[in-house]
Amino acid sequence: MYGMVNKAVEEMVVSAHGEATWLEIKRRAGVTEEIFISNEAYPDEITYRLVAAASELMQVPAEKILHSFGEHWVLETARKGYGHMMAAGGSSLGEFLDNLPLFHDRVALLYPNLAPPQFKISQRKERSLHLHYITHRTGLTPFVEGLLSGLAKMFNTTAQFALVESRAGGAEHDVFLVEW
Amino acid sequence: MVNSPSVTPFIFSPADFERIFPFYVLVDSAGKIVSAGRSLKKLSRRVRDGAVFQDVFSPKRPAEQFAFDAVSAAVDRLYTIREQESGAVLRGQFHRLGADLLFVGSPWVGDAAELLKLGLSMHDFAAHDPTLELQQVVQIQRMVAEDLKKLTAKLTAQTGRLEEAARTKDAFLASMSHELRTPLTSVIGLSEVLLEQVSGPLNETQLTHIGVVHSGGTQLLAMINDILDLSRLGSGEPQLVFETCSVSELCTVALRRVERATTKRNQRVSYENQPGPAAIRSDQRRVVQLLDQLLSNASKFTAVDGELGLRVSVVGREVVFTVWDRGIGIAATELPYLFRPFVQIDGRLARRYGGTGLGLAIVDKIVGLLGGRIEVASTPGVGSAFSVYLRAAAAAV
Repeated sequence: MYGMVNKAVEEMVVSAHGEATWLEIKRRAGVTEEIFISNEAYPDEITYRLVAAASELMQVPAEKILHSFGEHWVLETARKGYGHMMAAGGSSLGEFLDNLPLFHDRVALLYPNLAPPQFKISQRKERSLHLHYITHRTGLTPFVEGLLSGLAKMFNTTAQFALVESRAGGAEHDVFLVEW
Repeated sequence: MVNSPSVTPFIFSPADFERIFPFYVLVDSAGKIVSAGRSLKKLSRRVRDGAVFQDVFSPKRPAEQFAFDAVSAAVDRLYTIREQESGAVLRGQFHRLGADLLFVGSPWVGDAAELLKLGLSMHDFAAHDPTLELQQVVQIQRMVAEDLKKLTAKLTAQTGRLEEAARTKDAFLASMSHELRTPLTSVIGLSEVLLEQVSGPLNETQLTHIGVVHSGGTQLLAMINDILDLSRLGSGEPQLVFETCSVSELCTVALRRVERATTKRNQRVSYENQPGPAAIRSDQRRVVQLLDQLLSNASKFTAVDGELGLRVSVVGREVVFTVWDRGIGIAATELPYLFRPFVQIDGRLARRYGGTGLGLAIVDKIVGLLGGRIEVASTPGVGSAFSVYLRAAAAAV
């Protein structure tokens, strides 16, 4: 994953628990990087180790940390990092989700070594849609749930998300029903 | 079989054309807007069919006013035009389309904030248009610049802390060494007096015991001197005096210093200086010190009746002092640790050969301060060669 992802994990931990906690998480995860450079590609393993160490240290399930991280990513990192591009993505939750596939296709061009997930929309109705999350990575479903939750908050929209198909359940990829 | 020519793909329905070029504008020969793309119309209400092109758009580059014939004749140029009401700048090119001129392009903005100010969003752009990605590239560069600033600040702070710690350590060592040396001088001096039996005769046992005290004190003093020297060299405190030094004189002095030890061990010492470089520009005292240290080590780690030597040669603009021996040698795996303070490769050597483990660390520091370098070649059981490269005096080579 690119450095900006690990940087976001750091920002989330430091803002909520302080620098000392972050240093301890890094130590437990065996991560020696002083800082993460936004556009440098790092092995996915580093991110997974950081999340596992945070989970162990804070006695919080990894899924919950990933969910919080998803929200943090939308509400803090993405807003700061490319907030204007996020805003250009749409003025409502529905419009943003409609643009999400193209948005990710554009992001993929920016980071040649990135293997970003792909999104697909189906069953679009006035106030609901199915969001298909297609990735080679495993275990990040709670992160996507956090992202969706963050998006709903960003657009001040009350929304429900349900995982209607999941890889863990044998499906080809995860599918979320999003209703608002 | 001959393929029949395909139907030209360059005929679009207006809706398709607008989807692919949402910022297009078509101008007739009278300079009036025939039609414009939906995204361009979103920028300003003034962009409408029938409006005069140059009432709505002003030229930015090239700066000349819009003239249908002139633009028609230069369709390969890159044009930037400004929509006057919104201030949006569009980059693109004109193309002659029948009797009309077609402009295709898209907004040229420094960052995505400008797009938002213009009231545009992602779906106002054609999927093939890289405008949004270009802005993001700029944004990423800014983020990376921030990352590097943070990294530099962290490293600078760390360097400062390390320098401070090193200074504190050096000051501590210097102070401790001074405090230890003062009482040791009394121990060594008075034990020497006792050994000389100036104050009266001692029996054999007493002489042996006092001998041990004296030798232990002398050894301790040597160690303290080394520590003090190393800390001075490390703190940048040493005052070096660079002058033109005769190479043969440096070697003679250093060899004379080690003569007592080599004679005692019945070792053969050879000296070669051919073709002899006359002089180097360096600190005489420190060069002698480092040669003395290397020769003392060579003697120490070479067996009784063994052989060692000092050879001087010239490589390019450098004078090379090589101290060699036919001693115990050093394993390749141990070489990286050779110049670290308090490292004597094998703990057993310290017991067998004595020494503080600071000698080579001091040599390394001196060579560094003199602007030179040192190389080691060694084979266990065969011997070692330490080569010190120092810059020759300008007229010497």
